[in-house]
Amino acid sequence: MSDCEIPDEYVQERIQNVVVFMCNECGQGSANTAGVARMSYDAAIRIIRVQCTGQVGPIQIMEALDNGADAVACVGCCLGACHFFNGNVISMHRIKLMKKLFKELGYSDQFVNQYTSRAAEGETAVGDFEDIIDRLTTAILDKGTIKDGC
Amino acid sequence: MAVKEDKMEKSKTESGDFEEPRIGVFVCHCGHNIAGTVDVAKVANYAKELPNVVKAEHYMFMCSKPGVQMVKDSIRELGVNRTVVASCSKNQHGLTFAKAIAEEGINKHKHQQVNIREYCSWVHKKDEEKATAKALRLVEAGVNRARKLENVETRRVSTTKAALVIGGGIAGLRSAHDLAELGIPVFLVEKNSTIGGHMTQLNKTFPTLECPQCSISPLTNGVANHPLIELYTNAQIKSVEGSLGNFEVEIEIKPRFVKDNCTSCGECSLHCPVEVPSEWDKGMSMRNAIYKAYPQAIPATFVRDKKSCIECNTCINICPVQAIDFSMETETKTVKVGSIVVAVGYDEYDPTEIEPYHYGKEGYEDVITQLKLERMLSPTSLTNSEVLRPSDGKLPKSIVMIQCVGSRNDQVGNQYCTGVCCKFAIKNARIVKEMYPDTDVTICYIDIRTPGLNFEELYKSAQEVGVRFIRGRPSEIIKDPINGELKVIVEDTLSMTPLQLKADLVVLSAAMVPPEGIGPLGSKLKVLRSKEGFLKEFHIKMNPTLSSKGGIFLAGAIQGPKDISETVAHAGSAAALAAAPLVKGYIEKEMLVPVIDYDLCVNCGICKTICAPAAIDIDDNGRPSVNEIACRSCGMCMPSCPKMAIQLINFTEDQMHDEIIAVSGGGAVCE
Amino acid sequence: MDVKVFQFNGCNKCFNETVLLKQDAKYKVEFVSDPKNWKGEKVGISVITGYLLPNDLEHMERIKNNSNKVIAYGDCPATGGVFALANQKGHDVKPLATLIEGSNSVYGCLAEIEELKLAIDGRDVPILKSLCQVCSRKATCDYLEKINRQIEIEDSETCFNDLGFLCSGFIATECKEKCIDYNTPCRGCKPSIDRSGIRMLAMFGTLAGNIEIATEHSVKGATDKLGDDDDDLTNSLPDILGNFFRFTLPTSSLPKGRISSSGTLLEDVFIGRLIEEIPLITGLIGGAKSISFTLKFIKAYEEANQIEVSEQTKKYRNELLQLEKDLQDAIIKEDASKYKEITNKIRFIAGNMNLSNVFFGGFKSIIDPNDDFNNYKTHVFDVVDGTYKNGSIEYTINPAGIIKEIKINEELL
Repeated sequence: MSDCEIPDEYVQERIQNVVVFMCNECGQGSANTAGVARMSYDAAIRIIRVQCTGQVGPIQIMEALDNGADAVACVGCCLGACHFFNGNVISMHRIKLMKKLFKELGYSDQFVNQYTSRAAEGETAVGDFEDIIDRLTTAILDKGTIKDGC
Repeated sequence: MAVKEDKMEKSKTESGDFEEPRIGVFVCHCGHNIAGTVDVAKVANYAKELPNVVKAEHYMFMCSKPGVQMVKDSIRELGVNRTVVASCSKNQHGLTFAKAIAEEGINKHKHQQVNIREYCSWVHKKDEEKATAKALRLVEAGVNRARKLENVETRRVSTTKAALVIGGGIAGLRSAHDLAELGIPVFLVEKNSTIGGHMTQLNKTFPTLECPQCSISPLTNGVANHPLIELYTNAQIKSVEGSLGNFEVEIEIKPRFVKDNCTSCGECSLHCPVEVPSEWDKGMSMRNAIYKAYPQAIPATFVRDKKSCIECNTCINICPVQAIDFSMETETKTVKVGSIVVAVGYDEYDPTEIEPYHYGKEGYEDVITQLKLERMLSPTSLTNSEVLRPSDGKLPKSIVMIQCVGSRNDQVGNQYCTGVCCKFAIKNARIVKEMYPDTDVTICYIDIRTPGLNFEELYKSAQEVGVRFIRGRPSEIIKDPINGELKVIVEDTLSMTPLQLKADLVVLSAAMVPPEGIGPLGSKLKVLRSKEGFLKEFHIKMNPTLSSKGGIFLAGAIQGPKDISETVAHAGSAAALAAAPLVKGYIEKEMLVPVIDYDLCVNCGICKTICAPAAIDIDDNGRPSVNEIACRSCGMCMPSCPKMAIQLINFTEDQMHDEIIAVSGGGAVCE
Repeated sequence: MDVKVFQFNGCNKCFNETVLLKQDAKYKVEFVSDPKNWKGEKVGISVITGYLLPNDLEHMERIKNNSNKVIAYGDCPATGGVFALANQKGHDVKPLATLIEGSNSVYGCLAEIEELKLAIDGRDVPILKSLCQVCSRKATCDYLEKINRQIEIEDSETCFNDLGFLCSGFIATECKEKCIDYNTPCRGCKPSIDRSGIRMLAMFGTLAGNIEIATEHSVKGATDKLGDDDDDLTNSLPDILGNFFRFTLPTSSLPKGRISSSGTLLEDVFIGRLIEEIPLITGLIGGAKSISFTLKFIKAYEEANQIEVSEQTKKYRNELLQLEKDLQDAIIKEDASKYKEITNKIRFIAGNMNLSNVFFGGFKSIIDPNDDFNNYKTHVFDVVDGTYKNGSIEYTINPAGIIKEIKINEELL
C-alpha cells in the first residue's frame, strides 16, 4: 500500500460493490422498512435474500469476493431471536474464521462482517450498511482488501 | 459486466426431463416510485439481451389487472416457463405473481421477485445513475436465479384427529379442556397420582384471595368426566416418533396397585401402619403407604407407595370392594396424535445451595419456603391452618420473608426475575398479619414488582395492615449461639442501616425453575430449551406458545415463569394452535426441503447436529434422511456439509453462485 | 510405454517413488532431475513432480509440446502442495493446470504409485471410498465444547473431531499413507471435492457453534454485531492456513498472501506454522532427508524443555536414521526393489513415508505389537516459547507455539 495520503473521494469512488446477504426474517425486513421510510444509503450496497444467515457459507463469501465484490456482509436476526434458533450465531462463527484467515494472509479483516438488525427498525439496516462502508474504507486504507494490489 | 453465454442452458424439471428455460422479465414503473429514479426502459432492454430471456417488458403498474395479465399472456403466447418481475418486495407482491403463473399451469415456485423499489429506487433517490446500474445487476441476478428454478410441490398431509397434553396442572387442564370442546379426543398424561398441579397446593390466590381448590374444581371435574378426554395418571412419556400432524407416542403408566372400583372410602389408609411425610403437603402432614394425596384429589382412587409399603396386607383384607391388587404392573400404551401440548409446569427452586441461608440444615427447621407456608395455612394442614414454627410448634412472634431467593442472582440460582414472588409474598404476608396482628411481619426485598390491575392495591393494603418492608438483600441467617434464636442479617439500603432482624420464622420466596425431568423429556420431544432451562418458544413476541418443533406447543410455566391468569391465557392459545391442523383435517406444506446426494455423503452426521427442528434422522448405518414435514427450509445444513451432499431445493450452491456472480458484477478479480 | 519423470522444485519424495515404475516391465522410464536443461525430445508420457513457479512456464511448455500426455504426480504439481504455503508470503507456487492445459492429476502427498500407473495406462481410477469410511473411528459430529491442539492418545474408536482434535478426513479420499492410523488427524492431501479447505472451514465453524466468540455493539445500527477481538475460537485455531490449506492453497480460491517474506521459500513455508504440526510438515517435505530433518527439529525442542526420551525411542530413531542412509543409497543407484524394501521398513516404524508416527517424546502409535507401548508413547507436551537450535536448524516460537523465525542452513532439498 502506498504511504501517501489517499483522499476520501478516491476511496468512495473505489467502493462500487458490496454484497449483503440478508435473512428472510429480520434482515430483509429491516431493509424493507428502511425502503418504505425512504431512508438513504450508499448505492454500492446490493442485497441477496437468503432463508437464514446460517445458509451462507464461506464458499458463498469467497464467490462474491472473487467475482467483483469489495466487501461482503451478512445481516441476520438479533442474538437470541433467530427464527431457526441459532443460524445467526453459527454464521458468526464461520465469518470469524474467515476474518482470521484474511488476517493470516496479511489482509485487513474489516471487509467481511456479520451484523444483526430488527425488522421493524429501518435505522438498524441503514446503520449496519454505513458501518460496512466505514469498515471497508478502513480496510482499503489499512492492509487492503482482495481487490487491492493484485 | 455480464458474463455472456451463447449456449441455451437447459434446466431439469421435476419429472427429470430437461426443459429449455424461457424467461419472461417484467420491469415495473410503479408510477414514479421506481421510474422516477431507475431508468426502467434501460433495465428492460438490458434484460432482453440476457440468455434464455424470450420477453422483456416494462409497464406502469405490474400489480394491476392488465399488468398481471401481461405475465399470464407471455406464458400462453410465448411459452414462458419462468418469470421475473422487478418491482416491489417479495412480501408485497411476490405471491400475486406466483399465484398468477400457477393459474396458467406453471409451478408457483418458478417466479422470481426482484426488489428494485425498497432495495433500490426508494433508497438511492439522489443517485439515478448508480441506482440504475444497481438495478441492472439485481435484475440480471434475478434472471440467473430464474433460469435454474425447479418445481416445488405443495404436499397435503392428513392429520390424526387427536391431541396429547403432557401435564395435568392448570395449564394442561385448560388446554385439554379447550381441545376437547373443539371435538378433539385428548390424551392427558400426568406423572403424579392426581391432577391439579401446584395450583391445588396454594392456600389462596392473588389478588382476590380466592380458594384455588374451589376455582379449579369445575375444571378438574370437567376434565375427569369429559367424554373425549382420556386421563392417565402416574404416567410418563416414554418415546415420541413422527412429526407435525402425525405423532406416535408411547406412554408408560406406573401401577397404582388399586383398581378403578375404589370407592375412596379411606379404610385402607386408616388402618395402614406406615406413616411418611406427605410430598404434596411439603412435609406439613403425614400420609400412609396407601393414600390419597389430598381429600379433593382427582382421580379419587387411592394409590400405594411401593417403596414405603411393608406389605402387611392389612389394606387388602380390609377393603370392602377388594380394589387393592399388589400384582398390578407397569403398562405401556401407544397413542397416535396430531398435536402435542407440553404443560409440565415448574418446580420451586431448592434454596439448599444458598449456604448462608442454611435451608434444610439441622437446627434450621424454621427456615421454610413460601410453598410450605401455603400448605401450613391451608384448611387440612397438620397445624390446623395456624402458622407455627416447625422446630417447636410455637407461634412465631416475628416472621421475616426474603425475596429473590434463587432469582436475580449472578452467583447462585438464576439471573431472571420470576415475576410472581413479590405478589405471593405480599399476599401471604397480609394474610398472616391479619391472622396474627401482634406478630411482626417483615419482607426484605430488592425491588417490589406488582404490575397489573389490583396488585398495587394489594401491596398498599399489606402496608396498611402493618407489614414492614425493608429494602435490602439479606446476606445471612445466623443462629444466636446463646439462645438459639434465628437472626436475619440485612442492610436497610434506604436508610443505610445494618440490621439484625429477629426471626422466629423465616420464609424464603423461592424462584420458579424448570421442572425436574425436563432435560430427558425435551430430548424425547426434540425441542429446544432456552439457556435458563425452560422450553424455548418459537418467537418470543409473535409465537410464545409454539415450540421450536412444528406440532409441539407450549402451555404455561414450562415456557417461562408466569402466574395463573397468564398461564390460563397461554394454555388457551396453545390449544387453539394445536387444534388448527386437526380441525382442518390436513396440513399443507411446501416441500422446500433439502435433497441428499448419497454418492457424496460421508455419513458424518453434522446435518443432524445443526438441524434446529430435528428434521434430519440418522439410521444405524449413519445414513441421514430428511423428515420433509418437520423441515423448516432454513438451509443451515448446506454450508455445514463438507461434501456439498445436502442442498436445499432452489437454493443450491450452483443457483446461489449464479445470483452472486451477477450481483457482485461478474468477472474474476485476480487470476 | 515411454515414460519420462521430470522433477522441478521441491523435496523429490514423489520423484523418488517413481523408481518403482522400473519394477513393471511395460514402462521404459527415464528420470530427468534437471528439466531446465532438458533438450526436448518426443516423449510418450511425461510425469511432472515437484512444485512449479512462474519462471518454469517455458520449460513446462517445452515438455507439453513434446509429449502425448502430461501427468501431474503428487500435490505439488496438482494443487500446489505444502510448498505453496509460502504463497502466504507472496510467493507464487502454481499448480500445473494453471500453466498448461490438458493434464491429468494424481493427488496425494506422498501420492500413490498405483494410481500413477493407472493414469499412465489411461485407465480410470476406480471409485474410491471417503477416508471416513475406512477410518476405524466413528463420528457423531456433535457441537464441540473445546478445540484441542493436542490430545492424549486414549482409544481408537472416538472420532478426532468429537475430541475437538480437528481432522479434515471428511473431504479426503481413502489413501495409502493413512495418517489417521497413527493418531495423526488428516490434513486433506487427497481432496475429493473442489475448494476443500474452505468447505472444511465452513464445517468447523459450524461444529464450533457453542464456543464463545466476541460480539460487539454496532454503534451506527444500535444492534449487536460480530466482534473483532480475539476470542476462544480464534485463540484455539492460531494457524487456519497451515491446518486447512496445507496442500491446496493456490486452488482454494483464496488470494495470494501479503505477509513479508523471510527470504527463502523453504523458510517461508514454516513461518506461521504451529510447533505441534512441525513433525508432520517436515515429514511431508523432507524427501530422502526427511527423517534427519524431522528428528533435528524435534530434538532441539526436547533437549531444551527436558522432554523425556526413552531408550526404546532412541533405538527406533537410530534405526530410522540408518534406514535413511540406505534409502539415499538406493535412490542414487535407482534400485527399485531395494527402494521398496527400505521404504517398507521405514513405514514399519514411522507409520508412513510422511513420518506420521514420529513425534516429540516418542511415537504416536504402537510399532511392533509385541512392544509395551508405554515405553515410547508420546504425551501432550507444554508449549514453551523460545529459540531452539540444533546444528543447521534454528527456530523461534512465541508463547502460542507459532513459529516466528527460522533458519535452515543446510542443503536440504
